[in-house]
Amino acid sequence: MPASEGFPPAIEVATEAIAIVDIVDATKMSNRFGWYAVGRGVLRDLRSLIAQVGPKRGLSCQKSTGDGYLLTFRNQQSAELAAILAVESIFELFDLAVRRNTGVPEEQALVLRSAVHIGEVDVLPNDREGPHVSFAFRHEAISRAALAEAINPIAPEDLPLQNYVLCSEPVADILRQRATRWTPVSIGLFRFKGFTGFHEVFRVNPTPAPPC
Amino acid sequence: MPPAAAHLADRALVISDINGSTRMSARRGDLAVHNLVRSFHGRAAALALQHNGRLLKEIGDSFLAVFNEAADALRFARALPSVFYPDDAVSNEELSLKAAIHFGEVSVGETPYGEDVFGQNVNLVARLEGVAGPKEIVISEAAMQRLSAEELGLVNRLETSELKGIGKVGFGRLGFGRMQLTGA
Repeated sequence: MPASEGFPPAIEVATEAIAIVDIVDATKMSNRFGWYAVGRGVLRDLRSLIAQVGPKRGLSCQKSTGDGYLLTFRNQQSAELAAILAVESIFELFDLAVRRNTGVPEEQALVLRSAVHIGEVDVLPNDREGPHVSFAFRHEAISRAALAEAINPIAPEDLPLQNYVLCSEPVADILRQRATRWTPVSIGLFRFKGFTGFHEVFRVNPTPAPPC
Repeated sequence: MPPAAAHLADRALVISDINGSTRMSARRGDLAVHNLVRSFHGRAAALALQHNGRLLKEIGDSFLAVFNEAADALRFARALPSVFYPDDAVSNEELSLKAAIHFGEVSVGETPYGEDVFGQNVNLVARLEGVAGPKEIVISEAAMQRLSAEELGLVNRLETSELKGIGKVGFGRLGFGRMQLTGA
């Protein structure tokens, strides 16, 4: 009998940047205008835009979440670079979505929000599992209402409703040390269900160009 | 960013947390934990008023309370077990309190969800809470400096820790006034 018989196959574990991309108000959009009339086309367009920005930056997994996608990015040289490339991908995705929305009826607009984290994940075929994936989803779920339950929060009106990127402490550290194009700005310390302690969450802002 | 109408003030800050609630959620369900936390926080709010303070906000299982004096904050924190009594349904669960106390300047302002405090000292007390073990209060050196000699006698020797985003902070540890789980 082969030694491996009876044992589950070993699961690959990798350090990847995890990006959650969500269509803002996707459920409301589908309820009002219909999934087949509007929702399906918007999601298909998002998938097409991800195909333009992701593969060239190490996109290693793209899994539908219903209202968006779980994306992971991997870089053989540096896991930190994967986080930077993930952030870069998301901002390019936003740009492409804004361009796509030009001339499109308002109800078909592709409006996004995103959260980026980095950590070890279990690699499954076209999927990823593990606490770091849950942790990324906790970041993505932060809304203006959640700021009321944060320590040192920004004012609710300072959190945009669309086209914003939130990131975790490890990603903020990487951006501070290795990227000049983006500046992480704290939006408060949060508690996340299933995770102990307070976790500082950052909004990733494009760094303004220095004056000439 | 604090609201435009915020003003600076010295305040003692207390953050408390319930250890073991995540495990309990998995076993008993979210509703049981939710009810336990809500009722505890309600009693803690009344206790804060008795000690010249206010429970400012709830953050999941945690809360943030503010006081004018560090001594009031300490007395409040030490008395918390007296209002933390899970009902019979959860009395055998392994739940315990922990808390952190700090004193310093904060920005106080009105927000759409009520009064709140802002600033690095608020971050500090939140980070300090992570240093506390179960059934333990940690108190920053800044808060300890506001205590009487008798109160200081409750605190163990000064330690230091590097807190993320803050730097090196001195603090002491002490136990609660009475052990919790009085309903067990």
